[in-house]
Amino acid sequence: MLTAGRKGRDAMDATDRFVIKTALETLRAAGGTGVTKKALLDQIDLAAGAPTTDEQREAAFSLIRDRGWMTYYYEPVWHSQRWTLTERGLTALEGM
Amino acid sequence: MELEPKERIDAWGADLPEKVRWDCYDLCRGLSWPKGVIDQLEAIGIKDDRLPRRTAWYNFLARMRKADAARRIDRIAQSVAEAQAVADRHGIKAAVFVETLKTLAIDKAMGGDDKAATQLASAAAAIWDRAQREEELRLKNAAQATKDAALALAREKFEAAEKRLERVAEIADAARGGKVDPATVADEIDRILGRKK
Repeated sequence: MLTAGRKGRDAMDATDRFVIKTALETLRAAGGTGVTKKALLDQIDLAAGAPTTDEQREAAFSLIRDRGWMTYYYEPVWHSQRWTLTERGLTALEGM
Repeated sequence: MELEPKERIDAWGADLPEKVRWDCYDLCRGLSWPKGVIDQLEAIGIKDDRLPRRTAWYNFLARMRKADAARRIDRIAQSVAEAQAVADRHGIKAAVFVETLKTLAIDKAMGGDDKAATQLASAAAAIWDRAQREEELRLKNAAQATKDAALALAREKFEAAEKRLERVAEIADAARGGKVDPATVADEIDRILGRKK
């Protein structure tokens, strides 16, 4: 599973790619409404199969965010951050 | 690209019906091995030689966790569709309201509670219905107030016209004696009718 500080393609194995793909599919399913960070981290944890550490979940989350595959907006009623898939994210998902 | 290997046919749980597999996962995932898990599995009806070994159980959990992630994605899609259907069924046009419905439904589906997601969407629709009825009542009241004001104005106009008529009749009576100059009578009538200041 992903750890902080490991970068590039070599840092990811099949499980990592599966986890990232599942996270991106979740974002795609949520469409313009998006999901909360907590829900996405839970989803990453589930997709990994075995329970993950906070650091591993954050590393996967950062990877998706830093590559510009998702972005956030403030939900107007509760003012919470919700993450949605970007165009780049969709392209990446289609390539997976 | 297939990222995950397929499940082995001889893996523990592979031969169980879909519903039983999910029951095993949902009821046992938070329990300690072996006591809690074995007790719960026996309560479900899996006994003796059908019970898993430790490694087989954790492999089963790992597979089911991945399947759970996929199930949540399906639930999100269903919840969004359900929220949209509720909004359409109740004629909800407000974009923020529809988005809020979807947000609630997605959050509940992500928590694994799709029943609550539907209930929330229905509750929101009921609130919307009530808001609509209150708005209709407010508009009806406003329309009634406008009608009352128009009626009062019409009455005022009618009373003023009656007063003018009475005044003209008085002048006509006074003019009958022939003592009043016709030009003065005409001026007076013009003043009453508002044609002259």
